Amino acid sequence: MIDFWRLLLITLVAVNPAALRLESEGAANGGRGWAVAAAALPPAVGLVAFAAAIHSEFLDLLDVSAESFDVAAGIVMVVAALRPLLLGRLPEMPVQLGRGPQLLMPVTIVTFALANPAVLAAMVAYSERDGTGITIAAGATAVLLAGAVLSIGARRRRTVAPLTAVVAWTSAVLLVAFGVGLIVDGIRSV
Amino acid sequence: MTKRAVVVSVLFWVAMAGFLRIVIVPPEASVEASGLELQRAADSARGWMERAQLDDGRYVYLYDAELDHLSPDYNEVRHAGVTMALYQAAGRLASPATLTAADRGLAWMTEHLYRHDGWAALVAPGAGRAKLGASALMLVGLAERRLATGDAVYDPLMREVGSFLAALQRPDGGFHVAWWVERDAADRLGTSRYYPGEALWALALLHEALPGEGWDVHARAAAEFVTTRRDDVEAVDFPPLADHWAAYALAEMAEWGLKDAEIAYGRRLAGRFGLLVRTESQREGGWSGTVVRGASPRAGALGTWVEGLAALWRLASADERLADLRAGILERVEVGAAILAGRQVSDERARTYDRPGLVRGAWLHEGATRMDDQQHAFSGLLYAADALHGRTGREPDLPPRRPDR
Repeated sequence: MIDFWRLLLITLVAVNPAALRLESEGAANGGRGWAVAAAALPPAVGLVAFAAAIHSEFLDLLDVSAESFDVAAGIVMVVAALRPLLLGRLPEMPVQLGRGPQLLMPVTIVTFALANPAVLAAMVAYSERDGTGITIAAGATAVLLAGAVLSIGARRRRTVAPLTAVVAWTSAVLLVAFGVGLIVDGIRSV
Repeated sequence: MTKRAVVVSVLFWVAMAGFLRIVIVPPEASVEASGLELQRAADSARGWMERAQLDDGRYVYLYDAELDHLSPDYNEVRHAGVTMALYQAAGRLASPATLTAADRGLAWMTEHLYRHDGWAALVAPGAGRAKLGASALMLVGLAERRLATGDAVYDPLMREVGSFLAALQRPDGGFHVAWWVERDAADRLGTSRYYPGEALWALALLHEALPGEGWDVHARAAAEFVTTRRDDVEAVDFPPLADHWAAYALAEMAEWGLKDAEIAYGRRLAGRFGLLVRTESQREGGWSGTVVRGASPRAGALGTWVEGLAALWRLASADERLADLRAGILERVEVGAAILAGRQVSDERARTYDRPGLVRGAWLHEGATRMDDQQHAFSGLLYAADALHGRTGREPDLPPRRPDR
């Protein structure tokens, strides 16, 4: 159980829902941000689960040992944390909403914001270390929580904005710590 | 603005993926070898060590196969190491000819002993300085001979050489690196990163051969020094030092019961050897690894990593505190040994050189081979094959053979 909460924390800070929300605040979403988030959740959860499920085949395909991959995954996590750490926000997300096919782009962008490179790298690395099932459970939970945060209404957003910035920055710091830990583990492992 | 940000972000991560692939995680070599293949490669290396022996019991030190040049240099520490490996071969491959060669190597060492104050030490001709490492490996060789033959004739000499190691041991468990013959004093200025591990293993084997004589006290003190202080004393930049001798010793001492600090050191050491083998595997795996990781090390280095890993595999098999590492270590042992075997000079390739006998079964580095290349590669391959076969003991299978007198 402790492993689950640890993995949940790692994937949650990798998703960094607070930073995502700060970023999406500037978007003219016409009050329908929740719709984009809801539409992005299934593919995002699917991507996260897929990354965890195929970790072994993925490493075989790359001809890379799990321990070496840990180093690369740790670097990805550290790099992903740099922007929210330095600027307090993620790259701008163009979640301008339209109708019908025009929704595709924002949904795709939010999907890859939820299942970002740091999350996917963490899925592969931790699935190899801790097991696929628990990693998928933690990753999916983190993405769902992030989706929920993104769906919060505009009025509430303004209320908690200062706190969100602090959480976003703290998440980035934690992500750096987890990333560095993974790098060190990868170097020190057999 | 937002579209541009997305494009930049995508390009950034694509570039990052490329960087990571080329610089951090180049493909690792997909190599495999069976225990039998490794044993054959080890046997071929044994053949080189026998053929490379000179009339006076020494070995060819360095042969440049490209220039067909034999180096006049020599090194008594490496002489002791090759002789030790020959005794390992004699015991494990049950080869009388190998035992004869090893005994000739031993005879050269016994002819160059310096005796003082109840101890004996190997001193290279004209050197005037008895190196700790030379005597330590000589003692390991004597212990290997005892295991291979059951012959106790050298027990008194083992005690004498052991007494030399004990005489050089400092109160902190470390060692002075040598004894100045003319000054009649220990060398208190020189240091060596590897001699303490060699002395540790020698003392551990001496206790195994002659229990109840107190050698374990020296071995335990040395183990504490090597596992907890040596890297600091020697200012090792990226500890732990990849010390395969210490790995041998810990595997030998596993049945004595190791302290948690020693087990923790074994774990760190396994990680270091694992990293080195993974890096070597990346060198072997493709152009990017070759470019980024640079030139391959000589077989003498790669062999020590395989030796170390194989020893730590035995330790992990004997001590449950390291059981979680067993599978991972075995994987690295196989990869390292397979790379090693793949680089060995075949009979066919050897025929293209001026002296095929000094190239066959050897490993060339920049066109040349040094005797310790074969020594370390032999031991690494032999014990890697053991690990693949699930053999957790190092001693010969057959009942001890007493040489004809």
